[in-house]
Amino acid sequence: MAYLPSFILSDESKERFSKVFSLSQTVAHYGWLPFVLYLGWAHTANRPNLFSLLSPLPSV
Amino acid sequence: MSSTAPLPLGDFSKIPTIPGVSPMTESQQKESFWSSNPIFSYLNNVYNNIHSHRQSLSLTNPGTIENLNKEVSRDVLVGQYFFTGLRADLNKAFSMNPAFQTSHTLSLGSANLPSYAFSALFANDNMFIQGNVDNELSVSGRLNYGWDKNNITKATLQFSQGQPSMCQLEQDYQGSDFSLNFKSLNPSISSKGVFSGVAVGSILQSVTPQFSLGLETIFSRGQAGMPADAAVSYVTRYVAPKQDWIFSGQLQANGALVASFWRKVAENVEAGLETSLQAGMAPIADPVIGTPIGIQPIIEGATTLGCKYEYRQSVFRGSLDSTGKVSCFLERKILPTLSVLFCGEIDHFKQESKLGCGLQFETAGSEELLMLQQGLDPNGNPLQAPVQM
Repeated sequence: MAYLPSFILSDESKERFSKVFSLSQTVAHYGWLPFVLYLGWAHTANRPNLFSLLSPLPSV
Repeated sequence: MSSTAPLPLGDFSKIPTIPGVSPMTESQQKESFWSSNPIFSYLNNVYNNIHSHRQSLSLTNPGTIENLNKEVSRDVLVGQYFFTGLRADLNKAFSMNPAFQTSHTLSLGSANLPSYAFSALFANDNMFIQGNVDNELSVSGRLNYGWDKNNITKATLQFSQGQPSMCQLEQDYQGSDFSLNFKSLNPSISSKGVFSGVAVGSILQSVTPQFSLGLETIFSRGQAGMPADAAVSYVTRYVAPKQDWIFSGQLQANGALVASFWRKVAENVEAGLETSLQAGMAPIADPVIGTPIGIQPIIEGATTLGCKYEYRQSVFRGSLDSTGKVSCFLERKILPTLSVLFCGEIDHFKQESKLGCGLQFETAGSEELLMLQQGLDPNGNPLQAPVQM
């Protein structure tokens, strides 16, 4: 007996899925670190500016 | 007999009962149908008995399988800390609570460290998030989220140019006397409903307050069409009543036996011993022609002995192993904001040596932290106790 999958996808929707998947991967690749920096920035009392966030020198 | 009072038909509490005999017990009357029917109340009773018995054993949480031999392999031995070449870490802290810190790492002449890496971490009471990017634009990220004090969800991501990305999802549950962990690496389900990727489930259960036993099962399938692989490993851990020594052992599915022993020698001295035995197969070569004529089972073993000295301003780790390697790692804080790292390794059997030197700067991103690093409180008065000298 041939095994029927529980959901059948057409080629177009398969392609759309893989497109969405690779797009979300790209977003996570380039967006992860800015997201961490944003979270930290939003929770820090003195809201450091972008330059002082990225520079290794003391910014006081 | 008055005709005005209506018959109390819908109110069962008004039904006259013989004193002392009630259709339901006191606890059954209070609870809902699901907990008061005879079958479930019996099961509840059994569960409560087992639970109270477990409570009476005074077991504690055994920790996670991931941290089974943490004291030896991560704290005492040099291995994790070792690097070669030159490196500089520039850490900049913006806030302590919640913790927010960025870090720049520069490295020269190292085989595995990238020449430049930037990382940021943010942590508050129930979340930890960290990201790291290097000069080849490889990004790795880690997110831990604690739902309550027992449940932690962890995600690890890794993206690099020209390589398949990696994603690991993990769920940790820490009960009163056991720990459960489920994780899966690159999970995917094909349209035929076939799972591919790696799935790991593990449990560690305290048997006595000191002794715990556990097991870990791994199921993996590389591609949807390939046959799957499954394996079971067994682990055990014993913590001495005074917590001054710890033994842990693992029997891994690939035939490796790893045992480790940790001991607190003095107030600031710890020693660790790790032994691994690996059973495997090796080809036998024909002594004349040199072509393989068969295989034979072999057992390989390696032992590492290490120690860690922790002083007020420096940490020293040294280790010696049975393959002829002597290595050391020294970390010394010469200023509150500057520490020096040195590590070296000599392989006596292969006549090789490796050397690493590093500097670690701590800078502040806010006024308050700058004062704290110099041992002052925000108003410029000296602190009572020196902060992390």
